[in-house]
Amino acid sequence: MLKEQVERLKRVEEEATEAFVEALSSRQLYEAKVKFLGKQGAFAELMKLMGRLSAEEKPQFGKEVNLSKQRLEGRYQEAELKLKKQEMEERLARESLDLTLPGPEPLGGARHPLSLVINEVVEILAKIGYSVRLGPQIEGDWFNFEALNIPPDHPSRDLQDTFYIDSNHVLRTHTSPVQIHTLLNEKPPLRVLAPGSVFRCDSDVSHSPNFHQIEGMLLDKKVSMADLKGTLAFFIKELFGSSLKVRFRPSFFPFTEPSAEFDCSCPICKGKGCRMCKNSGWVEIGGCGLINPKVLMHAGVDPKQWQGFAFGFGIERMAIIKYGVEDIRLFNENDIRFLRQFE
Amino acid sequence: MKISLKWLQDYVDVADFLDQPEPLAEKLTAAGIEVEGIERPGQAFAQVVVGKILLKDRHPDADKLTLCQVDVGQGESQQIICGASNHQQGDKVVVALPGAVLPGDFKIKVSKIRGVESRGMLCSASELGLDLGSSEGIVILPEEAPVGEAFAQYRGLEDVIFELSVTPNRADCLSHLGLAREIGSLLERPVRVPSPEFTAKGAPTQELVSVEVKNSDLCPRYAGRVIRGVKVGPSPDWLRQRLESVGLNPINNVVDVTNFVMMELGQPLHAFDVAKLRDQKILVAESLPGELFITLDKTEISLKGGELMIRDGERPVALAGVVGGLESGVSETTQDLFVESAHFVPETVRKTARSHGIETDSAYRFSRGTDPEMVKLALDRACELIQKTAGGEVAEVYVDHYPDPLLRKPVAVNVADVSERLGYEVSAEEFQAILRRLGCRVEPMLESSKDQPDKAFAVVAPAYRWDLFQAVDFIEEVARVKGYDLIPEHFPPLHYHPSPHVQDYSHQERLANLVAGQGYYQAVNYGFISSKWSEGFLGNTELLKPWGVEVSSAPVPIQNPLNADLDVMRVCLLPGLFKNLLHNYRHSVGYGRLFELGSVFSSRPPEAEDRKVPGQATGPGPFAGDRVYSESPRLALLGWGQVTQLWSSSAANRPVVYDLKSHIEAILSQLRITQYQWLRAEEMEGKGAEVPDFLHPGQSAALVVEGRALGFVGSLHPLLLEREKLRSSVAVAELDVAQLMRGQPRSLKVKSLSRFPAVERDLTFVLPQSLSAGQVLGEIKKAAGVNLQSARIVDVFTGGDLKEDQRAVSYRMLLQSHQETLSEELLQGLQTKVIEQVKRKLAVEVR
Repeated sequence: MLKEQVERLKRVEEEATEAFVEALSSRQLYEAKVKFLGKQGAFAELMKLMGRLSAEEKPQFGKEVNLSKQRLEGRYQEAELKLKKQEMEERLARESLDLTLPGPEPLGGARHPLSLVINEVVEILAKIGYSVRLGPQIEGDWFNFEALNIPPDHPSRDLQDTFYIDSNHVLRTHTSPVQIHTLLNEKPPLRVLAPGSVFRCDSDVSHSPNFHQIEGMLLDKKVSMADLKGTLAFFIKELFGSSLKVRFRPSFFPFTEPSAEFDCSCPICKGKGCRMCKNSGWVEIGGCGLINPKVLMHAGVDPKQWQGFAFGFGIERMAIIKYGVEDIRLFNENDIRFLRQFE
Repeated sequence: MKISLKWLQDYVDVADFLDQPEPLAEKLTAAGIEVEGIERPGQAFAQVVVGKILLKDRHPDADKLTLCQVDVGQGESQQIICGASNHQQGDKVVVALPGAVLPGDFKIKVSKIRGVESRGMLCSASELGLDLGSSEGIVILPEEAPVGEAFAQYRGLEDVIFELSVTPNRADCLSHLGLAREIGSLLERPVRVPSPEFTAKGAPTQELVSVEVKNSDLCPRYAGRVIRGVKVGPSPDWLRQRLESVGLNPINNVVDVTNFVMMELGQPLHAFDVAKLRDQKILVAESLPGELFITLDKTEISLKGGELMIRDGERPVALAGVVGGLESGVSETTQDLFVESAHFVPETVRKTARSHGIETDSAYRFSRGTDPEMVKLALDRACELIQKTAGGEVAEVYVDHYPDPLLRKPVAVNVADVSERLGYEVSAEEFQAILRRLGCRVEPMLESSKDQPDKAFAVVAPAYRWDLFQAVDFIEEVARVKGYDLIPEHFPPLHYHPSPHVQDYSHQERLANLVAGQGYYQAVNYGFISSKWSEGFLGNTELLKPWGVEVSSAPVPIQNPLNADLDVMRVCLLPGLFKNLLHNYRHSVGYGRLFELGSVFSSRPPEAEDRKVPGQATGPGPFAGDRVYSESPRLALLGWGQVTQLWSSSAANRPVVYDLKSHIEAILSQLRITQYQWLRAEEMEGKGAEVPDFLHPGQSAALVVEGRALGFVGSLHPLLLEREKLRSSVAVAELDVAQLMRGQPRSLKVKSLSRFPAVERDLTFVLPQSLSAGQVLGEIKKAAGVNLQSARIVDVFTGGDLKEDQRAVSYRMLLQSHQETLSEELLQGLQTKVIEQVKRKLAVEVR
């Protein structure tokens, strides 16, 4: 009787093994598991026959069944692992995407190159204590000229072609009047920056009637040309990211004395000579100097107590040097094909 | 201004720079006298020489051509064919030899003309590019012209011309002597000042022409001298060459001498014909309003009154320092001259010249400031040269009204200050040496500065350097002569707390970055615009007032606009952005998002308060009667077109105005502004508002933040689109930046998070077209109470079983409690409450 039972057990085990191995999916495998090992499965049926065996045979048969079940469990897990792996591979193959297809269109959006330059300049100089001040674009004649030591009908008015609003107001020709507003409203020591829109009534391929400048001013007890040169050297190094030289050339501005134009070695060719620097190795950046005592007096600051320097330059020119813009009209046409390049 | 080195050589030795002028140019530029260009006029005449016609024959095959044998000083004579007929055997001529390149890139080569070889060309004046009086036929040179000499050398063209850019403070460098002085001090070379010699006899000037100066304030010095019996005619070659070398056209010997002296000494002169001076009188006085005056170049000008004039007994004869009169000027028939040498106040000359739009070399120099001490030398020099070139008898005595001779005050300069301000050590010896080289008087000030007796000096600048009158001016002179390259670099330490950026700047920067972050490209337009364009876009600007952006109906005009397209200051940013849209659209950019952040301008009459503005009181200018101008920052957005997208193809049909609105909402959210609503015109405070002309009346809304309208969003009116042939939908927005950024930055207070599950519930209502979906949303929010985390619109449906004027709008609520898991009963109750409340308030049905 035992032998017969064991034979049946073996057959069931063989059938189950076959079913496990041949299952084509986890689903089929699971069904096979239920069929053989489930509560109403083939093994359960076999166990029901246990009652027919003798007392000695029972534990022996029980042992055989358990061994058989253990083997089948192992085979089941083996088959399951294999199927899972196979199914995952199929899924991965099915889910493969063509990643050259686009996602949602990028938003785009960018600040204007002139703003980028202003921001960069402000950021650099803010590190050494400068902060921004603003002034009006329709400016009093006194602020734009007289306070800056440019009296009416003085030859130095020739330097700037002016748009007039009325007999006492002009469109500011430079950002320098912000110096005056600041000196009148705040107490030294001071380090301030004034970026902004300025106007001159000339227009040609290299001049726009409405362009941008940034002005820097420092006021302290003792201020020298060396302080000015050191500050600009730091600024140029930060802006162009390498050790470019700064050069001063004598010049004339009514509001500074001594006055200088400042150049830096060409950031494009590093001084070797190129189209940007017209083969001179130097590019002109802007004007600077020690604040003329007359300007301080106009603004109610005692030049015996306080000294200062100021510097300024054109933002458009800086953008031309930094980004290689070849036509100044591009700055105001607001062509998206141009603006997009500054994303 | 042009400077001839050959001419300069008369006053300072620059011979060593004639072959290599670059080091001199660099030296001058480094000292602040910028040499913008260097010309070598002689180079244009390489291979052009003086020749002599040895033999003149007819061309064997052409009657009109001559065949010449020309001696060019090379031993063998050259055979040259010539088309002109004014030359004779034995004449001296200008020969362009093979290899010469004449003006107009005309290359001379050995050639065959009708079978006969020609080895060069006999030149006419026009072929040489020169004005030599007569231009008929080839140039016949005087007998004494040396055969074989280079033509450039013969004509004095072997020269170097500097093109100078002189800053307004250095009027003293606007002449050859002036630049010679500068070079003399920079190179430590002696300077030769001309000492004129002439013979004077006969009646004194004052007896021949009476001179009276009424306005000594405007004309501090007026000198003149009569020269009788001159013979006006062409100038000698040397004089013509000098003037031509600096770009002046020779006119006649008298005028040429006055121009020569101006270019030599920097003192403009004027010669009057004594016979044409009514009453033989000169009166320096201001003009009367409405007087007429005809200038030398025959322009009639109407005087405004107050211009400084030179008058005779009856009428104005010259606009002082600017230009002479037509009638009183020197002509071919002039016999007696009155030569004027004067000093006029720069401001008066500048004002007159500018107000009449006259630019002359004389006005240029006077308005930049001439040297009153040069008046006498210049007058003498003119007398010498006129006598030399036009003959005549110089009156025994000259007139010279100079009631208050110039007195330069000494300026105290401390050498310690020089070192301190330049950042490097300058010794007292060096300081004195440099300033003396520049013509200054330098004396130690022993008394006044006891602490540093050897360092304080009294410095007096020479008369020609009016720009030196403060201690810092002399400090700059020292730096300039020593070279700016010596200035070291020193990094000034920060020994105090830096201040923050002004708030307007920080606000605008933050806002611009937020807008760019929403996908917009920043535009920068001019502050001025065409009034016509702006009006054409905006229509009735009054309508904008209730929308939170006031737009001035009277833009601020510019008195002297560059052109009619830029005649007023902008009142709104959108007309400019619209122009940018057209530019882009016409360059096939079918989709775009632009923004601009900038000022708009307005004006109003002043009120008493305005005069208390700090700074305004400090300025001496009268502010009464003026208008008060204001500038307010605005943010404008403009978008057109949609991109067809792969994953959401319906987005291509989304009206652009929704994009703008949603981007503005994103920005509001980033600014932590949560209390806002979009109102249509009819929903606005009071009886509602009218929609601005440029907006689509059915597609526009005002943004009301915390109860205050601060701008609008909307689609452009189809009429505008049709006018510009735009085929895509365009949406715009403009917001008042000051209002928008009020109270920024707003602080962030983080909310605690709920640990309980969140549940979504959807509700669909059927709305009549007249009811906005937003109103229903508002009611839902009010009804749902504290457990509502968010509510939004997820679908809009029309058609189907809905009536024509109905829409089904679906709302999705996210519900979550901070205290408990929301039970099904509670959720059901909440939903019923929301439905009932919305139904009751807005009379809509649930679908």
